[in-house]
Amino acid sequence: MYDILKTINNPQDVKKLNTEQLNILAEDIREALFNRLTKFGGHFGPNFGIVETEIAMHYVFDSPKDKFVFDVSHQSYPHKMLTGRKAGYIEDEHFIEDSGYTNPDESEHDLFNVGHTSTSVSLATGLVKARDLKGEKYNVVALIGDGSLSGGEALEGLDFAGSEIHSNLIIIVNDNQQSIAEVHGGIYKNLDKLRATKGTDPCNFFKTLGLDYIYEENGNDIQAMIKVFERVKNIDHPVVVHINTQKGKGYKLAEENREAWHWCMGGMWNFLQKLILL
Amino acid sequence: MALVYGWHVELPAETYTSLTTEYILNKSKQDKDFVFITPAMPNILGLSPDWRKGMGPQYVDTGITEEHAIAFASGVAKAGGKPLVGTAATFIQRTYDQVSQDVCINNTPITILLNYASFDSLTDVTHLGIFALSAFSNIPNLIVLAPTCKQEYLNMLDWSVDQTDHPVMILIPGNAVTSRETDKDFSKLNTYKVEQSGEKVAILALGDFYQKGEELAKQIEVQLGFKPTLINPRFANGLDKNTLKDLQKKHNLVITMEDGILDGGFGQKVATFYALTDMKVKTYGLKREFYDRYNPGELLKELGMTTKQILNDIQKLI
Ligand SMILES: Cc1ncc(C[n+]2csc(CCOP(=O)(O)OP(=O)(O)O)c2C)c(N)n1
Repeated sequence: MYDILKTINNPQDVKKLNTEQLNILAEDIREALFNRLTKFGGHFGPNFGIVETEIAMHYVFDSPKDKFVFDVSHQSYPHKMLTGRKAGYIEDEHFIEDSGYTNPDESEHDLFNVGHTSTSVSLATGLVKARDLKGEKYNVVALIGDGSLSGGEALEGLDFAGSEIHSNLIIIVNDNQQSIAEVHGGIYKNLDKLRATKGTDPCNFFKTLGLDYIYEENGNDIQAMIKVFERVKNIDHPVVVHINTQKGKGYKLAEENREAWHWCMGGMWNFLQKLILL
Repeated sequence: MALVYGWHVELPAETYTSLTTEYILNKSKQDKDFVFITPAMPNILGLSPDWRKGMGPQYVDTGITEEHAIAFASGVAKAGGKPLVGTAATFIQRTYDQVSQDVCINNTPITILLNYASFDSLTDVTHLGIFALSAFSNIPNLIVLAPTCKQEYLNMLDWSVDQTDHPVMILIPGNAVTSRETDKDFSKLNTYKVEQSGEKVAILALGDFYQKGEELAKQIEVQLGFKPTLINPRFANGLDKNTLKDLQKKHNLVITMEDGILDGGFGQKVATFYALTDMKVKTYGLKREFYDRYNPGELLKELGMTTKQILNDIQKLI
């Protein structure tokens, strides 16, 4: 068990893997997520759905030089496993050492301690500003869910980025068509349309704000995600990478009932209750 | 009891969350002006997808938009609706100015209902519920209510949602449900409830710390040999000056207990009231600190807030 994951001590180790090994790594990560979340509790669906994206992020970008900002950061667990913290997922006695959110006290790969939504784009634009003032070169990547896009601060951040940022900024919009509950807001009609047309519909919310835009329909395919990230790496302006993913991917109950499996209480007891309440 | 895979699983007993779900569902059936608004957090108030659907237009999920939800509710109230906004205490923090300007300056009668407003709920540093009480307490016109049991909680909800004079924030207790007969009307603002009359020491135990106050009062009687006064303040951000003045006749020590940070909170207001008198005031609550992933029981001990520790303090102070 965890054959590949056990060999990963930092993102450099991810870059050495071939396609098949990367796919096994994704399986290992899901196994490890299941191990921690059913016993210790935490965010289930958000992490199961983002495994391939975060593997590809570490495969293509160079964290900690490149900066990742996670919105809410409840979906950062695969990233944590790839940045030296796998023990917190595969060894029960180490669960306690890792928080359920990004945490700069744990790793140089985590920039902010956050747990409230819709802040990642604003935080990332600040990093961009300082990077440019100092004349430094690196990628700034924000990862935000479709649900969190409805928050005012996210809209303010996107609006600002669309006109005031003129250098590298990559905003990954993880569209799994779900908040905790179902999504609400006019923006989702546009996301639906963009997904339906593989990103080609001329009515495009992000472009309206002045942002470049790329669509990737296979957000749960590591090779597709590597390709799209290689395309935007070192880009010289803000770009939205809109990806389509499956919340809860790889665990049938979580795929089918995305609301109930957003979060999961630890302990077999509670776990069983969740199963009967479904 | 249900039998699952050969194991007995206790079905959850009545909780403040289940009481809230029931209230919302009943109220929306009985009152077409009532609307429940949530910035994307129906689950923490127990509203399942089916129940939400059943409420039709009386259920509004605004998206993850706390600021908008509060201002939207103000509009609803202005036009004669009865809005109840529900979410977690930690997420309401970003709405300080909507509560201040869009609601309180305009005195629109909305009710803000906060779950997980206790030190004993969410313990991640990003999700603490211990700041809302002091942060929002100091906005003029806002009535912050801290219920102490099932009946008082439901009576406060009933009163608040139906009244048209004030914006109200209700802190859902973070402890187990208890039961006691309480008042139904809260229109006499900032009036405390003297639950037990005694002497020497007066305990002002706010909200879900009321049960700790009860326990303390009992132990004072058993161990120190006199009957203290026990008060349920109910109004977390108002001073009942008559009651406080009255206490000066037979008491020389006031104990305040609150489930939130002390700075800018309830106890400090009481202490300031007595500042130029002979009354001693000892405040118990949390520090202005970003606690992270703590054990709630251990934290109370660290803060010197167990009944035993407070009894020790009292012995030294009287
Ligand atoms: C300000 C704020 N309000 C509410 C929440 C509760 N919350 C946590 S995650 C979440 C949904 C996020 O959905 P999305 O961005 O689509 O991410 P997903 O979980 O689907 O990956 C909500 C409402 C929060 N963390 N912060």
